[in-house]
Amino acid sequence: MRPDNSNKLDVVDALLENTWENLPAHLERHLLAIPSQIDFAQNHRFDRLSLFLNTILILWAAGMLMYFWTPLEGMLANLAQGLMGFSAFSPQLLAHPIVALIAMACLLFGWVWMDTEKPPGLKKV
Amino acid sequence: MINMIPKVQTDTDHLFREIVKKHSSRIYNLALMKCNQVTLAEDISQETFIRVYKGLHNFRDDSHIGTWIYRIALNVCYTMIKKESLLSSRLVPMEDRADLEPEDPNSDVQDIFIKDLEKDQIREAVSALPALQSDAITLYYLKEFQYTEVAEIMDIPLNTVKSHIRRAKANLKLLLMEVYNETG
Repeated sequence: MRPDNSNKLDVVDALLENTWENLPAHLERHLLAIPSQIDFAQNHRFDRLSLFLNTILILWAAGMLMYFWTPLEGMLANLAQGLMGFSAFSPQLLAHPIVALIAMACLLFGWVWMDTEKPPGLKKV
Repeated sequence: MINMIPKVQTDTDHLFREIVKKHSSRIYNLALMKCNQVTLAEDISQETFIRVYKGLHNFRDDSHIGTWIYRIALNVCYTMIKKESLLSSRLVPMEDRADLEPEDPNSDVQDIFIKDLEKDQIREAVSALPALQSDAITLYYLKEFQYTEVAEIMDIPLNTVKSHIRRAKANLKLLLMEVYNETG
């Protein structure tokens, strides 16, 4: 409730006094939750469960890559040979204009991404 | 179990809770008066307290914490109201006319009329005042601050605050009479 320390002077004071609205209860809850939400967003991007699940996923992907590496390597080498005229694992790859273009695009995207202000995710009640 | 939360963090959170308890109603009403939209006032309140919380870790001057919070709130109001283009409200922002029109001898009669206006209409009139007058009268109306503190928040001289509030009241009467005549 509003503190009762008013000293009404004229009709404008009285009118302004009467426009007072109590804070919605849901808004107060959201305001009080700000510290936990900000801390969670800043410090707990990878909580324990998602870290555990992601570790399993990474191990599985690494296993698959190792298991199928030989045929995959052959396929990539053939593809690169057909497209560019040299192996995908050759140092010549670094000098290819398409690779340079992709690298520049990634660099630019990363730069813009880092410079973009991220929404805190707390805007809407 | 070892408490992993640093003491500074818990102190800040405790201080933040106290600030929310003490100032949230006023910040919400300040925002409501400035924009006259419930949803936007809630957004402004949230954004203000997010900034307060983020700045609280580095804030050392406890004696000025109140004025600091309301300065943030005013800045957030301006940013978010501009973003929402609220200036397209029914009442166009008025020019300062307090000095142009003499005091109406029938002002008591006017007072009787405008007493019946709705909250929305009053807020709309306040938001249509020139910006500094609107800020001054809104901050003063919150009754948290004396003239000197309003001056500190707005970063203007004390006498200018008094002048803005006096003009704001005069202009507000004119605006409210216009609203009354329009709604008839």
